[in-house]
Amino acid sequence: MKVTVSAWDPGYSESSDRITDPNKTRLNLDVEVDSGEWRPMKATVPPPSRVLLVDGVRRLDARVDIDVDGQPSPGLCASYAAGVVVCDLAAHSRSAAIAASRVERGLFSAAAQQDLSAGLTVSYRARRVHTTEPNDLVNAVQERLTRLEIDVAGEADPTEDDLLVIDGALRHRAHLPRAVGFVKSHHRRYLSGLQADVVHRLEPGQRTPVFEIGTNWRRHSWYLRLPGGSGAWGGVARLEAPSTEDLAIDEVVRLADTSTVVLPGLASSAHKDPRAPQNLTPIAGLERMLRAKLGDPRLLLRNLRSR
Amino acid sequence: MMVGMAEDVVGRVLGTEDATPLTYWVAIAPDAYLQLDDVVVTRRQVAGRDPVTVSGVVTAVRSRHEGAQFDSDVFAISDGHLPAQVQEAAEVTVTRVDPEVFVPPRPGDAVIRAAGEARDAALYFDQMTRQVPLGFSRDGEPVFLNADFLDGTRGAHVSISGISGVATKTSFATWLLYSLLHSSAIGPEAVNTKALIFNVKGEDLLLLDHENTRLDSSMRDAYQRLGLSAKAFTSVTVMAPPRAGDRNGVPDVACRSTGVESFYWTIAQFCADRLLPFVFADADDERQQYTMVVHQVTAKLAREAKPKEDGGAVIDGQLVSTYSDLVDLLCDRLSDDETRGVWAGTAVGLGTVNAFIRRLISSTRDIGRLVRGDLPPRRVHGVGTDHDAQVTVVDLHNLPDRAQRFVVGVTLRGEFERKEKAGTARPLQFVVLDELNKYAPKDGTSPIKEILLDIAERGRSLGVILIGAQQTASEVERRIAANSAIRVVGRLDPAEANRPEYGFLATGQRQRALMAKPGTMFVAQPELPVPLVVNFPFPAWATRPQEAGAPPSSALRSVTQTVDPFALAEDDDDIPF
Repeated sequence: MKVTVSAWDPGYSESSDRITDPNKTRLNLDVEVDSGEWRPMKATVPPPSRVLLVDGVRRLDARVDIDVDGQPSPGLCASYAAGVVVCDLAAHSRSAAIAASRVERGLFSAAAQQDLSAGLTVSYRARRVHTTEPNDLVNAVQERLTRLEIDVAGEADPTEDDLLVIDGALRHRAHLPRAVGFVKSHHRRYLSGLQADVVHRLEPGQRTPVFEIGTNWRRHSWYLRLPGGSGAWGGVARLEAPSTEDLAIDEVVRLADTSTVVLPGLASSAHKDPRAPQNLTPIAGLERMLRAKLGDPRLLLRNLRSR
Repeated sequence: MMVGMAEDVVGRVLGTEDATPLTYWVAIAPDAYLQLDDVVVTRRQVAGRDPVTVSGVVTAVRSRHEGAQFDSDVFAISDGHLPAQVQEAAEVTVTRVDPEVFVPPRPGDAVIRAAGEARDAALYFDQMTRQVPLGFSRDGEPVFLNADFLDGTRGAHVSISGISGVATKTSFATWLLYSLLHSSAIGPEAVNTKALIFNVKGEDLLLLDHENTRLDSSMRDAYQRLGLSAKAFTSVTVMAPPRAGDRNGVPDVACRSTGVESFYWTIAQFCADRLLPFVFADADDERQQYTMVVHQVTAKLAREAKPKEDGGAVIDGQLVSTYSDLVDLLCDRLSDDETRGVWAGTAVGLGTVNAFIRRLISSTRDIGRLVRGDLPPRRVHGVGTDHDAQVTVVDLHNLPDRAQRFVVGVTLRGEFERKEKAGTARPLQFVVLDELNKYAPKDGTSPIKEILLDIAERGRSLGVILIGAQQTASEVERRIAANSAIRVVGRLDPAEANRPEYGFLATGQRQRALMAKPGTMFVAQPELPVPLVVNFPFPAWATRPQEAGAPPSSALRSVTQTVDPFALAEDDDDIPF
């Protein structure tokens, strides 16, 4: 038996993946090629001139108790930020820059007061959650971050030649033009049998054919192997594209090909990033910069405590 | 002092490095830049007081990738894979805090490029009532020296260090003189101010009164912007030693044939003025026993010598008309048992006397052509500044080491004594001397070093200002360097740059001094805590024969005219008609 360390810290979780009910998953494997003819695919399309990558980071700054009519109610102070990095890969102007970013601080609780806020110098805006379960508060932070990511991605304004890579499942962001979701970890294995074997046989820079996943929402998906991984699933990422009537299957295949051409070049290397290679270099850089924008946690905690 | 300047904000005080009242870092705005030596100003509010203006000079600049963790990230960044920001920052060394409330600038305070009055205030030019132009700073603006620290009002003496060839020490010294004499800094006094320049290497300084033909209009413009006209020195006398073996005392100079006078001392002068100790002016000599004999013999010569008309002297009943005659006479008297006691003193051992004789004989070749009794009388021959010319250049480059020391020692003593007797500091007397480490070494003592120390310590009040140059300030007597109000450094040797003598340079400046180009000097003056980097203009006078324009009319008079025509005729010679 061979044990391969999945370089994946369990702490990085995909909440939208987890809530999927496996029994409801319906797969359509005949989207691009017939399910019986699956094989590793290569792409030969020209690379896009720009790749836009969207990601967000969050930090739980403090758990608080809010006094509501004498009853303590739990609350969560969180800082979270989302940004979009534009990688200009045109030969004459190679650069990567943060095109847009936003930082928010929220006090998540079930308390009803609208004017509730915490912190003297840095204010945490109240965001109402309808449950008081601590995990739900965390999920609420994540949901709010997802909204922020959508807003920021909208600001990035991708053109027809660009590729917009959203970190994580596409889910609520399917309406964004030229967007693909980039899922780094595999809590659920959608494929089995011949198709799973195709994933195993992928060489770096190859992808599986596009297939369709239907859970409580439908989307196209494909697996892509990035260089630098080890083991059968090492370096494999799953990508998602919307499955709507606006987007013809040719367009989806074109997105898949474009991602296959460009994303392996952005894979990170193991000595620099524990989540290599799936955590793409621009996203790692973006996360680092966003974390810097979240501010100093000790200072924020002091700010929250000073009354 | 605050000023209606156009606010050119170049960045903000950054908060990731400590800001102190003496030094702080500035993050430079993306569309701005700061280079070394730029002058900047920032202001901060202080509770209950007037705003404090902190002015400074940029002493270091750096740029780095923010967002990069690993050195190799730069490749990912330039490939467009990793977002990062290039951020430049500059270190500012504070020159002035006004009013003097020593508070640090606060992170986030806007930093403004200083121009006009703000720049003058930052560099204390606003307090310099008498400005001597020094040249241009890196940003092309003029830089000044406070004349108070040059003419003895509040300080005096200049020390110039730098390696040979590229440091342009003597060029800077002559430029400084030119600037002082031709600017309005010392007013009408400039006319009477004299300068004595010793030329030790090549014939660089012998053409000070020739226009430089390589001077173009942009260089003239540079002079004009400093408020000077680009001209050669107008009043120059060049003195050179007589050619070796020449019976007529023709000056030993190759690059010019006119306007040169030969200098020498007569035997009579040599005895009466007690010049013999300067023949033994090496620090090595001073450690020996025979200095006792030197002083005995000097005193005896001064007593015995009876001057003759032609510069020779009768000593102890014998006519001496050349230096070798003198050496022979002394050897004879000292070897003779009967006279030795009278000439060398009684308590001196034979070995000591012989050591003296040995060295005296070896000096014949070196000093022989400088101490003469065989040249036409009444000719101008002494080195000094008591004649008409403003600048006197004494050419030493053809002389051997011992003779150089002799000339420098005798000349400096003469000038110093002349100023001492004059009893007034004005008019000023400047002395430019290269190779100061030879004449005033750190260790040992010699007659020349004594005089130089005297000049360094008392010269300010006597009006004798030393502009000394040396390759290595670390090898020069500390008291001389310590008394120099103005310290100048050109390109330095790497090992030398780290010595404590250059502690006045900021750390970055020490490194820069290793690669300073000719014409670039670091000038430290007492009022400014940071030395200023100065590019001084190309000389308007010739520094080598190829550059020399037509000789000035004053130099065209022939050598014979310096001789009194009637001196050649007998007293009873009749008028020939």
